[in-house]
Amino acid sequence: MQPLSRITPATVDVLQCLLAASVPTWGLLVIKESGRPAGSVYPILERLERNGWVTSEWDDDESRPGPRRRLYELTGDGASAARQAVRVRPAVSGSAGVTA
Amino acid sequence: MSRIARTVARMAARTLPIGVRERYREEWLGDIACSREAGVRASGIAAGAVLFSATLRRDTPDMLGMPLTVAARRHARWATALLLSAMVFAFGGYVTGAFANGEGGILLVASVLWAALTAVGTVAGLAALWRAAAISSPLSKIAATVLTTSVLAFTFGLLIPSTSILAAVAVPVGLLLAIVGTLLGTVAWAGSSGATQPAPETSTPVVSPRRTPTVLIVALVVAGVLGAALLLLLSSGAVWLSVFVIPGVVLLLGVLFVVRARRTAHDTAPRMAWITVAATGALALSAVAVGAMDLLVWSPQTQAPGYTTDEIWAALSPADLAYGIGFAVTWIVFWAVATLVYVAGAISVLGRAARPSTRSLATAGLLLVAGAVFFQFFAGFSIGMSIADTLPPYIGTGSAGRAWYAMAGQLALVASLMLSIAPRPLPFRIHVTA
Repeated sequence: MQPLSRITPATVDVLQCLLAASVPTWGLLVIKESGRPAGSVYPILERLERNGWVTSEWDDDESRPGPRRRLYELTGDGASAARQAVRVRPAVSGSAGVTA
Repeated sequence: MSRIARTVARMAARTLPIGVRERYREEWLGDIACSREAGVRASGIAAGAVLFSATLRRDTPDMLGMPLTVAARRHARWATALLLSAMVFAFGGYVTGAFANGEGGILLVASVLWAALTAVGTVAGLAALWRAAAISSPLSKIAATVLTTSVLAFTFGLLIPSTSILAAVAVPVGLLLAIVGTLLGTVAWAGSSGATQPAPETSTPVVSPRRTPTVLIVALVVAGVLGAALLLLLSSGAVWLSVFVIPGVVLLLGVLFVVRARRTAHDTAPRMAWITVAATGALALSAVAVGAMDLLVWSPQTQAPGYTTDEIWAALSPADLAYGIGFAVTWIVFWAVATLVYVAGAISVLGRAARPSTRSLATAGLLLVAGAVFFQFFAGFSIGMSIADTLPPYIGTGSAGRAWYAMAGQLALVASLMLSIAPRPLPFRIHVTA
């Protein structure tokens, strides 16, 4: 897993949603729960996945018609790093972000 | 609204690298399909898709769907095709006078179009060059820097008055840098021959390892042509540069075609190959027919207005007539026979299992058109000079249609450059494994 070059408040919101979920989470639900626009959430999820904080896979529910859902889940190391990022959040609130 | 959102999301997905294109397309469409029940606006998802595409970091193998080396080579091939095309438009426009003599309304539009195509080809070519260099070795970055400096020197030299000392220095320096940059780029290409196969996700071969010798040959030809042009420029003036570079590009394409044509290909249905041969053969024969009319009728009448062709021929000395008609007839016969040889040769191999690809056939056919048009100028030179020396008003210019004819030939040359050098398009949809 690679550290993120910066952790913005939006990144913390997304991490919080992923931490709160007990099962792999649908990207659309992360958008809804975080209250952040899709234009923020999609790039954040991609960055988290590229750096090994989360993994993603297709929803295997074949009873659902149409395009499949993409489900995201924190990795073991990613979950630890996410908890730390959420814990230090008050210190970065209102700033442009800090180096992790 | 969700229909528009779906369309926008699909379009955004289309701009993504092939390695992730299908994945995000389906992901976004899945999100849009359920956006209402989730209480999220579909337009927001679509906007997110657009923003994602605009900000995505694209220089990783996962994103590209192919090894970095392969992606770099694809960009480098685009750069080569685009920069050579820009060269054809720039020097072609200069030679045919499209830039200088654009006083007529529609010809003025063509001149502006040629200048615009030169600018677009140069900018797009440099962009592709730097996209290749960004994911390649330090040597390729040096080559890109040298080639970019060469383009800047050329542009500077052509924009300032040609009589100034700076112009006299900038153009040869640009040529010299182009030679050095081409050779450096070739070494960088040859050094990156390790990983040339595509990632497993794409089943389409993107670059064959056999292409490396091809590229070496091409680079040596380009460097040789540019070097000869530099010598001619230093000794004989700028017009020889234009005259020399275009045949050089034709030669380069010929080499490319010969190498490519040896490869077995079943890329398209035989029917498409037949249509290609028929269409390009007809185009080449049309170029010969129109060129012949221009050589023997339209241009002589422009050079000696008020005279019939019989009167023009009667006024010329036997020696002038023999040389003039001789050049013209040689041109007509040579290119007509070359076209027939091309069509007959293509027909003889089309039925075989191992045949040239349709792209190779199209390249060869268009190259014939470009070659015929280019050398038509020289075929008409002798007769034009003789008429200008013999009959008033003593002008040597060609017919009004000659500029259009030349521009059509340049378009054919650019089309063959794109077909032979630019990489094949990648399939839009790929099999997604994860």
